[in-house]
Amino acid sequence: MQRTCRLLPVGSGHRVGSSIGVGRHHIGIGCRQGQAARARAGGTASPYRPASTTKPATGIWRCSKQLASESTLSTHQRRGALVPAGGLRHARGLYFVTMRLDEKARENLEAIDRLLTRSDDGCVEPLSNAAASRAYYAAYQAVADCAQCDGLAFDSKEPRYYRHDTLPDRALDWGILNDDSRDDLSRLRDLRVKADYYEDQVHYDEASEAAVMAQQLVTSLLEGTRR
Amino acid sequence: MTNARNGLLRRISSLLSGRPVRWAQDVVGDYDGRDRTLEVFNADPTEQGDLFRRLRPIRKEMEACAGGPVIVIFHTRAESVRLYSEFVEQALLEEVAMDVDLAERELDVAVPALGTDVVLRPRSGNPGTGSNVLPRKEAA
Repeated sequence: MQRTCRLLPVGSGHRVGSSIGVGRHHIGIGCRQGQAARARAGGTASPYRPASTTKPATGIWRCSKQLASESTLSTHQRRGALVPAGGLRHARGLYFVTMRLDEKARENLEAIDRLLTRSDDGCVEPLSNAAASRAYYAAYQAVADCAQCDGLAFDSKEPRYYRHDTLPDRALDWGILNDDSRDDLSRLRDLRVKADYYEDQVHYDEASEAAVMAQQLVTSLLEGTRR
Repeated sequence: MTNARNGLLRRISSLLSGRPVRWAQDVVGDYDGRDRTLEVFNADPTEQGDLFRRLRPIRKEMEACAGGPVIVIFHTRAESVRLYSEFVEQALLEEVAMDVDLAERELDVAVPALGTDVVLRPRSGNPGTGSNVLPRKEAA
């Protein structure tokens, strides 16, 4: 049975195919069986795995235990919650190519740069609302990536994700953030709410500050220098 | 809305230099913490970081009162005027009215004398010489 490749829309609340059963923010991607098989065999690099990744060079990526438990991995493999580089096979016959949230966090940082760009001739205006939203998700994904790597469970069962209102405090409890970075994540979250749900226009300066905060958070979390 | 929530709003406003604040209502859309959203008005981008930090000491109290983590929405001065002028004007008027009310209120409690207050009493016993020259000058 063939299924269309599709990235999980992070934060959108949508889910990929009811038969897959993977919530938003998850690291899994449903894709064609043949494609995943080629990727696993090393014949074709996964289109979703950036070559620039700094993550394990051993070809083994860690995934959440929950995803591992749903796969056809052996008990031995599940115990370590490790999956082959090419992905793993879902119990219902679908393949997943693992993808870490850190790559999406970096992509969002790049998006912020582009969204805040403005040209001297005034033809290109900055998109501050969108930039503020992306800034939060960059930080969210970096924190979520750390939490996933540490095997910390989602606090929402369905859909499975780290709740936005409680994540800053939970990340503080987990030791991922300190008091200052917890405040930064909270402010980014709140600005994103304003950007997405309120009539206000996010000011360029607000978005710029959010970009700086997101950059600092992502850098410190993903480069292994947690604050 | 409970009295506790309203009372907390006054404290929050006081911490934020009297800026108008309110619990958000009738927000369009859904997000985690929608029913625990605090709006702060007249907060420009350069002020927001400092204002957010000022809330740190009462964060736990806010969470206990609201029933979970509080989402704080800062409205810039420009947007406060453009979109929320009616509420902001009303809130500032109420604050002024409260100040006036406090200024006109007479204290009905017996205030103890401060340590610096000196009670003057007529001298008893030796009435003195009657001189009004300072002792040191008089000795010289």
